Amino acid sequence: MEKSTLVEFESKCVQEEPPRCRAACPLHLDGRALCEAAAKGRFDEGRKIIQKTLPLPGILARICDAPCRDACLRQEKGGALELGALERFCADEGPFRRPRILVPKTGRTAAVLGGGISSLTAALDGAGKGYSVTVFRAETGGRELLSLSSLLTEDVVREELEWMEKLGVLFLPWDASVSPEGLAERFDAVYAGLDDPLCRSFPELLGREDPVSLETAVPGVFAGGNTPSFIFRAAAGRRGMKSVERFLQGASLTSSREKEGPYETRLFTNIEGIDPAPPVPVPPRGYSGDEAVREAGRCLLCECMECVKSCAFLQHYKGYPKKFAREIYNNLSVIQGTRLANGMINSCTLCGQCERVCPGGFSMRDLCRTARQEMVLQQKMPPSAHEFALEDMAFSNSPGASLLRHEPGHGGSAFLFFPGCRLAGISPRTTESVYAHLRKVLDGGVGFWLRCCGAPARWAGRRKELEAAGKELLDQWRSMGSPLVIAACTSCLEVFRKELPEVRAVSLWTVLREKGVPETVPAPSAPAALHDPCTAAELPEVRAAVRDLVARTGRRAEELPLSGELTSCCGFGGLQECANPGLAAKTARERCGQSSSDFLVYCAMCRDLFARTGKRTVHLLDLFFPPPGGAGADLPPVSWSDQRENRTALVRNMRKSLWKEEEEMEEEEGTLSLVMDEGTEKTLESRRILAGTVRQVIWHGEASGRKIARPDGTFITCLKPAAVTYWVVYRPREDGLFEVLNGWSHRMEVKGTEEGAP
Amino acid sequence: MKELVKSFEKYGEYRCASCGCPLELRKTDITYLGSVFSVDLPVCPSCGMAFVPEELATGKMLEVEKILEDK
Repeated sequence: MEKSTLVEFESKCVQEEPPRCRAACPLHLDGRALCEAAAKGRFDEGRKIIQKTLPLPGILARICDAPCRDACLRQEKGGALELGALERFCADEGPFRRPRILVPKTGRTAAVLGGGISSLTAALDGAGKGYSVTVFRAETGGRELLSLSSLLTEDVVREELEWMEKLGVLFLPWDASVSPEGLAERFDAVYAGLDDPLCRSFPELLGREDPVSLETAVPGVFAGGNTPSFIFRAAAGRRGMKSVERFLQGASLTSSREKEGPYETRLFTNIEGIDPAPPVPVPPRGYSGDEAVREAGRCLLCECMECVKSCAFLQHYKGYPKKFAREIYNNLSVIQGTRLANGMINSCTLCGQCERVCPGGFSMRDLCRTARQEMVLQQKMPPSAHEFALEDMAFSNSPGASLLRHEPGHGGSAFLFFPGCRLAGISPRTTESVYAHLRKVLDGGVGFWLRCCGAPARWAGRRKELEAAGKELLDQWRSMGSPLVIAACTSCLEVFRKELPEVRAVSLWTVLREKGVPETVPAPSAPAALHDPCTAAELPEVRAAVRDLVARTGRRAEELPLSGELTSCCGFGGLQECANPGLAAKTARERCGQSSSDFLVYCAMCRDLFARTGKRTVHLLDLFFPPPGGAGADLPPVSWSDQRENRTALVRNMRKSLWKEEEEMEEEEGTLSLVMDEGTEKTLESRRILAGTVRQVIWHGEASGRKIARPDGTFITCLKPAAVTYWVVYRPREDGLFEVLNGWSHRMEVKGTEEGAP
Repeated sequence: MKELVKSFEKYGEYRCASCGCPLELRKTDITYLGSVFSVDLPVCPSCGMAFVPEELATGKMLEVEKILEDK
């Protein structure tokens, strides 16, 4: 990934933008961090935050006029935070313990005119930059500071001035001989604080300073701070000393200074659903500790996190897109070492919800897909991540599990029904029923096309495999006379639209809306929550058709909090279920938890993942083509093994019943009959060991005699059909069946386990 | 790991079905993504057929596979 791509991604995420209070403060005090500390009663931490940002913290924290109030988002929910009063409480509650940092002297000299807040800030900052700073001020300077506010005491002012002296700032009395021009000759640069009336007596300083650099008509002399606001006076001093630094370095006095003063932040914070709360009134003596804690507790702790709020994946990896973008960029740049973000990259559902809820349109989908493609190209994609799905894709396109035919009795096809792997595997019954219905309502021949659309390769970042699948799809489609494809699955439709725009494809749901559905007898039932699959988020016509069809069933459908274009993935998308099954289960559970009603879905995979969590979920097709003797919501989830066997059985049955084709002889291993208890079945399913694989392993063990005999009469054998070695524990029964007792697998290659070894 | 290998001694009760020999612990080469390890595994002393116990495949071996895949 190019650095510029990272920067482009990063720029879209606003989570790291400063909160409004900090952006509005001319010195950028982090009010959010201050409130967070104060709300926990951590006022020592609050003081650290103050002294890190504010010069003269003992003075400014007590008299800050808090311009942040006008920017505070709490204004809209009860009233702005009393940040000034919180600063004051922090200052009153304990001493500022400033670490004395020794700064190497640069040999440069700076003169500061005046004894006000602006001048003292400039002097402090100058000392911090390593300049020898001399302050020329009236001998009554300390008393004038005291007079700024009744909240300041002699002790506070003395402490601040003594601190400055400790830092090496030299205070000299002002006399008639002092003039800006004269000082400019004796010192490398000069700053004059115009909040001091003495400085305002020089007409050459007043009203002529550049607003950005504060440069005056006298070269090397900067002036500012002529404002009633104490905090803006300090900000002018800071700005002036920054100009002095640039002036001494010969750098531009004005470039890139937009964010020095107050500015508007890009941070977005959603305040929907937040209860209004009025500010805790500030008594004349200031807040008590309890009042300060309560007031700080009103802070909204502004942050965006819009995408994270509704995404189990983003929550799981504890961060936000900008952070993830950096981690992914670093991950792709690793030459030697551990690629820590592999798991994260492969766990995104690629559903695109984040980019639709994000105020800046950040797309984790684009980021993760780009990263996956790059990992594949770099040959750094963990082999285990998507192998199961890619093998399933290969299986779906194998002769026994795929089918392409014109409608029986037709020489051509005006339409081509594309049920997709998941519907065919999970519900072969409805696949056949829908095909029969389409043949009834459509003229011109409806062909049948069962195979994989290529979505797994697309999700896995395997462009080469996707392109190969695309070519095969195009060839097959053209061989049928380029008919209109009717896709039952929105993921297939997405692949057709995005990768094979030449293929004319529509959704089954829009066809059913137009051509009609079988009459259903509306059963009295509670309303169901309608869940849109993530790949329907960008297909408004499909979502509209589904809602129309649902209305025809007489069943009331509720909209989930995030539905339509903002819908959430079930956990299957992007191969999350393949790369991170635990997280996929969590994704499904969280979605199901958004409504206590039964779910109504129109994607077979959503139906299955939700059913696995125990959620009563009905597929819309089961309302039009009800299962015999029960309701769609009661159907059990279908294991990976059964999905494969259902697909081959579907192909076999349809060839026989519709096209009257003779069944070819099965491979002998396919005829081996297995029995296993529910626990073993669950273990094998969770380890992704398919019944077909178990048959293959036992078949080879029995045929070759390469097996291990256990004292209890059972056997263990293994086989490595491709990358993975599978082990099966079994018992041959007298009735000819094989009782499967356990199974496991590994990817490491072990000498002595390979076929034919040693 | 040593304890795990020690526990493999119990597989001495298992026999190679074709040779009839009880399995014995032998140093066996294991490879993955270019890395090679040598581990004591129950092996048929006659034909060399090796056995990978469930606890190794689903435990330590899986752990190492994941580490190597992220390298």
